[in-house]
Amino acid sequence: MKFEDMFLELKDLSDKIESVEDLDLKVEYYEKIKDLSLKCKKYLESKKNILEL
Amino acid sequence: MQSISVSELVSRIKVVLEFNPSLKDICVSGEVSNLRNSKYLFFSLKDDFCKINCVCFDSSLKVENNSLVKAFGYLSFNKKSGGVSFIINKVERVSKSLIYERFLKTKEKLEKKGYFEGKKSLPLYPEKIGVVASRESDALKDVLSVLSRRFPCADVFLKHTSVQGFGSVRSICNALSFLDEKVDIILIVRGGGSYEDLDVFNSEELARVIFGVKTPVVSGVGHESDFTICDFVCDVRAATPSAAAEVCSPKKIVLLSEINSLVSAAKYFLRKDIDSKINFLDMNNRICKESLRGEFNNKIGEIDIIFESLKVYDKNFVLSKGYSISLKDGKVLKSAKKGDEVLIVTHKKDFRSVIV
Repeated sequence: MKFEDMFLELKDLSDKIESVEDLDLKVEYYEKIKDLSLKCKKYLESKKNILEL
Repeated sequence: MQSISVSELVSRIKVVLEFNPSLKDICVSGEVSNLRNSKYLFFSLKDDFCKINCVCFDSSLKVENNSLVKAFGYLSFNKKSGGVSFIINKVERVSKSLIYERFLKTKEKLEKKGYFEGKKSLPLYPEKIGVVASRESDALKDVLSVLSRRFPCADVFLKHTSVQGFGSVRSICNALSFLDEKVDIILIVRGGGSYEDLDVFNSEELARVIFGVKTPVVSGVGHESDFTICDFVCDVRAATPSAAAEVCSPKKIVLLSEINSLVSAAKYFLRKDIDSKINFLDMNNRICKESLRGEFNNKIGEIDIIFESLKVYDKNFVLSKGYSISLKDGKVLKSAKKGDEVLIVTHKKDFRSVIV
């Protein structure tokens, strides 16, 4: 999954968790947010490659 | 040989330069460049091989970058800096330079063809950044430095090209075509130089290739004041190579902070919901307890009433009212005959008696 897709989904879930009323769904969103945030951070902390073509 | 001081040398040069009749009241033809307009006009006059710094104390004189002029004045030697300046008191414009004239014509032509329209939007988080630059250039170093600071997670694909002189237009065009659709964004970068040095980026052929590629292209050629055809055709024009790298890269530190904020907000909303559910359960629990307690007390009251009403059937209660019970052989006496022994039970004391 691309960083942009992960980050946009993270933002989307963050909007949803505020409005959803079902507690089970809220917990599910929270778990996904935690998971995506870790993946996004891992990507951001990774080192770049400089390749000459 | 006897040595002289620097001051002595500088004084001698000043005399030679400023009192030489062939350097007084001279007229110089050249192209204006690096014009800076402050209280006075500062610029350079140049030809294909040389240039000289010029100062014009009359800032109302009309001087434009890249124009060919005839300048009238005299030479001045600055003792402090050791520099020679051409002090200009009159300027006659001859024409715009040929390069500049061609630039204007190309710009007009491409503008009419719509090459400067239909800009592509840049990706927000490019993971693959293509860079068209000379591998030894400071421009490339600047770009890599900015990218490693702002968005080090992106992969950078360098396509080395010559950016000046014969064959460089073809080289840049090939690099662009090669990188197209292999990367998310392409940067064309080159450090500052003279207008002639940057003329490669005024090429119509290059403009056609930039316009044709599907990947967004950012131009970072020369300095802030340099404009080339490449700047106009590219999707975004950045003032310098560093600025081009900044334009295409989000700040890692800002993204990390945003991610932390999103997680904190999610945690807050979840905690808030759980707390509200717990409060709801606590409240219900309290209400249930109070309701049960009330019901229990009512039942107790009812039992008390029943208990009170049952008292009349209690033997001791009846005896306490002054009644007695006669027992014969441990059973309530219902009939008796003369001589029977009976036990009379009262509230306080029992009596044995005989029926007479």
